[in-house]
Amino acid sequence: MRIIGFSWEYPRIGLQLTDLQYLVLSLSSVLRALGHDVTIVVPGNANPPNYSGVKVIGINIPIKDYPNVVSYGLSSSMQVVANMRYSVDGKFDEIVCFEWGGCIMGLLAKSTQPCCMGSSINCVVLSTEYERGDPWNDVMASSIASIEGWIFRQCDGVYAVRQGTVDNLKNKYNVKATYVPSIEELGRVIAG
Amino acid sequence: MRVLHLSWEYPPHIVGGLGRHVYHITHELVKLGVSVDVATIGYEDSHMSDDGVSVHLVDAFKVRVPDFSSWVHSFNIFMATELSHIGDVDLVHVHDWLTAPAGIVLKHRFKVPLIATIHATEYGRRGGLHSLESRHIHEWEWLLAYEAWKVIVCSRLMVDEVKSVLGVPSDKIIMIPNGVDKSLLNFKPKYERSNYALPWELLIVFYGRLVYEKGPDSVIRAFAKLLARLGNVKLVIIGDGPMREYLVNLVNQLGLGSKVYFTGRVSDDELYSVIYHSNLVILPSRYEPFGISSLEAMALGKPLIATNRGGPTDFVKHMDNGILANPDNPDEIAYYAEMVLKDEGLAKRLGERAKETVTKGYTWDIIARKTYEVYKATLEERVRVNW
Repeated sequence: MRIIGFSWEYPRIGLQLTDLQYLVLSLSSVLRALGHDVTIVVPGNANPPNYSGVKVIGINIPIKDYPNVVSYGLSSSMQVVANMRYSVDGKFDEIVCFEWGGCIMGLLAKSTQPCCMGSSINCVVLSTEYERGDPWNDVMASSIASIEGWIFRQCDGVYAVRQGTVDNLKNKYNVKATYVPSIEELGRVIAG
Repeated sequence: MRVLHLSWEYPPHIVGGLGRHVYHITHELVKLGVSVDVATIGYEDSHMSDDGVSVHLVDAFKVRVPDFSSWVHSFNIFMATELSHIGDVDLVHVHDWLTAPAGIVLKHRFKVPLIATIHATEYGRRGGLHSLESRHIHEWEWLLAYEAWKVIVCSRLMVDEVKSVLGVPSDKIIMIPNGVDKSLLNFKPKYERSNYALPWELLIVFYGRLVYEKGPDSVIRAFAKLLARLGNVKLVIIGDGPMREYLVNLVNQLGLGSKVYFTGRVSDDELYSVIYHSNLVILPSRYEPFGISSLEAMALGKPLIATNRGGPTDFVKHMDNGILANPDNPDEIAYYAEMVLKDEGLAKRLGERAKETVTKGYTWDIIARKTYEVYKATLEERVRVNW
């Protein structure tokens, strides 16, 4: 199966590993180990090393100044997807997106890119804004929560590695998510 | 030929001149045999036909956003995903940075040339880039110009501005002015003159957004000087904006009292009726990429004192079809106003020449034909390019 992933981040040598980078790296490695062809698309023109046979494509985003994180998340996704057809070959069977930023890219790719049209779109959620911030009192958090609710509802499948996140997805966003206790199992479920 | 226009404004949703521009140009293009789609914002995803123009309304309020730029990017995402499936588009035509993200995505989606009309730049509007949001908008304007096959601007001022501010090469820029609706040339007023001035009063009109760039304060200061020399004058200020309170206080400070009438926002019919009844129109903008308001006064055959900066200098010839004055010099404005108001012959000649100018080169059918030529040339170039 050919799988394409979208994420804001991918590990880079010499920099501290974030939890999102760890998730993207480990899940893509698991999918590769299961025999799938895996490509990960990230913003930025850095070319990360080829880990475990996973192809990582950095797409340059020309806009450098953003008033806030929401503007960055929405705006950078458009820039990545606009130019990805010149860097990505062939058609993909499945799209895997990480967090809301990756999901926006994934949805745009599914709608506008010939390589992704017809693919199923699955989203992996580390945590919701209700766990990270305070959407009731903070404008930015409220906006991110609203975007999360909308974008996760567009996905064919939503997966989380924590039960609390699954509960939040259900109770706050009305999104039916699947709890998967380990990255290995997540890989098998997504590729299954 | 099928062209997809992307515009955040389209009637009835109108904020400035952009919506009117898109409305008129698309309707005239349909008359030339172009198949036209317009994608714009709405309150729900829907589709309608507007006199042959296929209008795609995209719900722009699906998510909560913290600020304007985030909102713009959110509706661009909805627009790109909704419009991606319409197919068989030959050109994508974007109006300003507000729909640039969707336009760029759709350009690469369909692999068709992107035409960008840049109506104004952030740098020009703000007199520089003074905030992070301004820099963000400026960068998107740059990216739009970079991705565009051709960049259309409306005046010589804008040609210079996109060259110097956005670094657009000369061979990519095409100047096509804005236009006015032909029906204005034969407009019949629907509101009485007596609503605005007494029979013996000479009526002076300013209209537009009440913001510093449009120079309403200069009109009031010039009017105060004029009133000291001519007693029988009346100033009507049409429009609304953040400067209104300041202007009302200024009128009181200058002791102009009942001689100045603020109407607030009015309908198009009322606006054109007041202009029609007026003896003089004064529009001294400090920044004016084109000046469609000046052109409207000219279409109605009125003597006009326009700004000597920016767009109006392209079509107003001083003392021939109008008057050009320094917007920051109320003495100069008052001097010319007195000259026109005291000389009926001069006023009549300026008005007639102004109407002639509009008839010959500034109606939407003429503008649409020029735009159609740009489309044709672009498509011919596209065939020769390996992309």
